[in-house]
Amino acid sequence: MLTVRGLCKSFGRPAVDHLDLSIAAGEIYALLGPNGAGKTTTLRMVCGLLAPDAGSIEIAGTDALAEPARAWLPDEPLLYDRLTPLEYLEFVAGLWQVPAALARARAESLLTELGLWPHRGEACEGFSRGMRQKTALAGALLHDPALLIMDEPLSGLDAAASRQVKDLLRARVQTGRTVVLTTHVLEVAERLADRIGIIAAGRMVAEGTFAELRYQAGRRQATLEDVFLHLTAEQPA
Amino acid sequence: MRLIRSAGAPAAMGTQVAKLPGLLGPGSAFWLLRHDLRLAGRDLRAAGGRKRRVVGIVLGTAVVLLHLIGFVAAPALGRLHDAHRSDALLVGSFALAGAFTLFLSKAISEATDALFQRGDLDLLLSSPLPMRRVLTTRLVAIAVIAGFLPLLLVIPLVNGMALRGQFAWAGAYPVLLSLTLVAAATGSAITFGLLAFVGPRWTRVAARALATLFGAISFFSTQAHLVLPAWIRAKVWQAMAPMSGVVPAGPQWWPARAVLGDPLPMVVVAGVAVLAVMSVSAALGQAYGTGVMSNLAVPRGARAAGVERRFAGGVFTALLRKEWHLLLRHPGLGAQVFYQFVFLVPGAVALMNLGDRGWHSPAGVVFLTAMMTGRITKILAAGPFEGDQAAALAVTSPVRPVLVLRAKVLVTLVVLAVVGGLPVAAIGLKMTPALPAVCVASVAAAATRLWLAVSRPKQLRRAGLQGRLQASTDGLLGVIVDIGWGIFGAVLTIVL
Repeated sequence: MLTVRGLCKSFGRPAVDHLDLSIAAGEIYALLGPNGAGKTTTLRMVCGLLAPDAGSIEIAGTDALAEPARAWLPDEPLLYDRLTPLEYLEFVAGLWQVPAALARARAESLLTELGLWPHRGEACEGFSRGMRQKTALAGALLHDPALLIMDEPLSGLDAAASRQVKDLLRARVQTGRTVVLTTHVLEVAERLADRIGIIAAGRMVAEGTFAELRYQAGRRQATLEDVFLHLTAEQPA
Repeated sequence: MRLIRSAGAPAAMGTQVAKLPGLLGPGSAFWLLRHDLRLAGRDLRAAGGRKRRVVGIVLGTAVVLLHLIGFVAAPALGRLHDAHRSDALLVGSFALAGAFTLFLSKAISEATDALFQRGDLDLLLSSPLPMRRVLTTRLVAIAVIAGFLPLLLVIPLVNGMALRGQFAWAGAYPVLLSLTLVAAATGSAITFGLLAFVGPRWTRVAARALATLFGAISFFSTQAHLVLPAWIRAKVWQAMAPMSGVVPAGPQWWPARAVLGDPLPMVVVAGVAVLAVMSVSAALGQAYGTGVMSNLAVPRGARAAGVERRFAGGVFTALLRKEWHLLLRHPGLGAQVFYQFVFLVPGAVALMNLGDRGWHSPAGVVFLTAMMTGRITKILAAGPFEGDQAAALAVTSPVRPVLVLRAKVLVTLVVLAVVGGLPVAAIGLKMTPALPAVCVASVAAAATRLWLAVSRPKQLRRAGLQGRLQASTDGLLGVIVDIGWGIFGAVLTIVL
């Protein structure tokens, strides 16, 4: 689904340094790394928000021409404060040219699944961080993207909301969609992701399933936190 | 289908859209504009009942008055249009040039803000919407903001004339609207040019300075008869004399001819405006999206210095160093101070020139200098006192509050002495008797502004609407204080 080759981006100093990444369709991939490792920069380049200095990004999908391939959910998504969730989704549907009837049905379904349907008529300005995050997620899923890219999607969510989002993502993946996410909560990556990539100083230092990462780190019984700290310990900051 | 993106080629947004949106349908430029208008409308509605009523009454009264002025002035302007077409063209062209520089000044300022604000660009850029369409709506928004106040003043005049059946100047509608669009396109192109040549870090400063300069040119053009020395004024009149009575030809007069109702120039002016917006959108659309994202991604670098020096010197040095760094790294500080100079120094020069006409020119100069000192102190103090993002850090630490305050005041005063010392020294050289008055009034104005900054910190009141109302009330109080000390300085000059 997503293939990245030799990706580079520099802001005076290298932020992403010859990064290779390959993610198959129908998996949840967690990109982990210390602060400043280049996770968000990588995802922003994949979404077309930043131009890479070198390398290529390839997004493959059978229906990509008729149905745009990807959606982006930033760590601090912007919602128009004066719009209601329903109006926000209506705007997003317009951006993606989703037919009105289909958009209406998907909006109702997403808002219901995320527990926002009772708040569909309220302006977003009064929403908590979790409600805003869920509204933005509904917007990202409205055009049913084949590839969903999310930066810290669970930050600020309480346990119940976090469960709702995780269930929604799992359901998407079961229908063949792909999810790429970053997170600092390693338990989330450990339980949710099919594969995990660990980057440091813009380079991939390890990649695989949790079991494979344990093997690479030489620690069969370790937690992901142990593995992560071990693999990133000797990388330059 | 495979979407392949390579190095140096930003995302080709819009390549995946199945069908093009209609002219007004979802995804079109008009649709985006409607969305922006909806948001602006809701912002206005949410701006609080009482304040909205007051603003509505003030604006409504001003509009009615301006309509009345237009109604009364209609016969005279009509005669100018019919009998003195050459003079009307000359006056109209100068007025339009002045208006355009004013629009351009505001447009550069707005375009700079747009270049450094992420806003909803994450959402728009990651959608299949072409960025040129987003930039088109941004340009229209910049044009509306740039032209709003000037048009609010001019259009009622034209309406007033139309009410008397005098439609000769009705061309002002399309011409002024076209000029705002051209200014928006030009201002954005200039800002992008700056970004390409001087980089994101300096673009903000350079663009603000340029915007101030254009604003000053516009302001100067209305005050030229006061600011320019007599010999230059004589030369200008001499150069313009042959133009009187001769209907000028050439494309440079077409905007004025369009205002006077010539159809061909009107079509050309409107066409140029549309072309300017479309070309800038097409040429810079993609650069706009990636430019904003790159600007936001550029880390704010600081010069490396020895670690030992960083932690030496004790509490007060640390406080002083922090205030000093924050003040000097404030992105708009230089431009804001420059702005005060640009608008107040010419006024002072004009008053100096009036000295031989029996005015109390030293009093006027002292008035302006004291006012400027107050304004600049407010700008300098805004960083340390209002913009302190780590105020809680100092409050919750064992450091004595008086030390924190002393560091803020000291840094503000040092910069103020450097900036304000120049005009005071100039007055001392040119008008020695006014020196004590200007020193007393300026020091008093600066001290009052500092006291206001200390006693009414805005750090905790900024969040809600109530905070914003409080901030604007404080701003008004500050202006009244500056004017008060200016008047005091003027009176003191006369008394001494």
